[in-house]
Amino acid sequence: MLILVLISGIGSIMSTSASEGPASTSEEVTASARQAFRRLSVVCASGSTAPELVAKLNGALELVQEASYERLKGDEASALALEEQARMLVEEVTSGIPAAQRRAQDESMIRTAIVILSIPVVVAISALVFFASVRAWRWYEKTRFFEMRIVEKKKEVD
Amino acid sequence: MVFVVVATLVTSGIAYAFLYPPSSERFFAMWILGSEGLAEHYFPDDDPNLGMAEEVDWTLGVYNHMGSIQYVVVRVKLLNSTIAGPDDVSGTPSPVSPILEFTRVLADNETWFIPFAWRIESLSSGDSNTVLTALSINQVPFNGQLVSAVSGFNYRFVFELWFYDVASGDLAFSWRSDRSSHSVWTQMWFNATVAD
Repeated sequence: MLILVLISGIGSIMSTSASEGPASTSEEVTASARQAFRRLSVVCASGSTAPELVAKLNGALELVQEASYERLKGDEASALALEEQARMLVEEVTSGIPAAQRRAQDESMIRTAIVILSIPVVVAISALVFFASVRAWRWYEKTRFFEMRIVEKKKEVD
Repeated sequence: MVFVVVATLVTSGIAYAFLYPPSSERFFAMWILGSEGLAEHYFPDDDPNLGMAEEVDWTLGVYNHMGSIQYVVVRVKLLNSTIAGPDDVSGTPSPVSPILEFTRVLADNETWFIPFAWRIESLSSGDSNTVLTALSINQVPFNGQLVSAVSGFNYRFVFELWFYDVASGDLAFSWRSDRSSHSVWTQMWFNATVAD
């Protein structure tokens, strides 16, 4: 019983200590960062990596983290300034996503075109190698058939 | 003609195998390293009985092998031996609220190292319980009735790995793969028996 009371007490205490200060701004930035990630993951799923956008998004997430630290230290002004910087970075990521999406589509089309074009090229090369090999083999057999050797017979000793 | 058909089939097969290789197992990994970046020396003098203001240096490692870019959150929770920890079988996290979170977007096959330097700043002793009332993690203070333990024994830091599930639009603690549930967490036990 004592343990149950202790657990519930600790749970409520921890929830209050962990959520000190206004978190609405931080939560808004985090929510928009997650939305940006959702769109970014679609871009990356289509074959692109968009490292510059990922780096910016990570920068924004680090700023949100620093803002929460500043808030825990009681420096609300610094926290708000950091969150504003984070918000701007997330906006940059969001605005850069359509271009990255187009780039990913272009890259995907180029990859598909290369694959489609490479099939007849590979078939042609394979056919060429095959017929050249057949011809080479026939030439080799022909030369062996007509090969003349001078074999010196040993003189019989009386 | 037959040769061209056969060659086309073979070439297509090779191209397909090259473009769509068999998918490897998807997983996250997380680990804790000690003060020297190895799986040892987790506490000063290798003694988990910590005194006040004794600096503990850990490094958390997170590895993404999910086959795609991932938004990961490491949730740091402070528990004792009686508070439920995460459950691997059911894939449920510990019910306790995190005291701290680390968030990052990880590319596929990327590893992330998180410095985690902490020390106990304040303890208070009751009848039989010792309550951890102030901690410093990465130079950031955490105050309040953080967690209590009988005689100051068996506190633990639990590190849970959460990720943003695009399908549900929320953070998730476990994922399904090969018809089974997977989750990633790790923990480190310590004692804090020296009270002011």
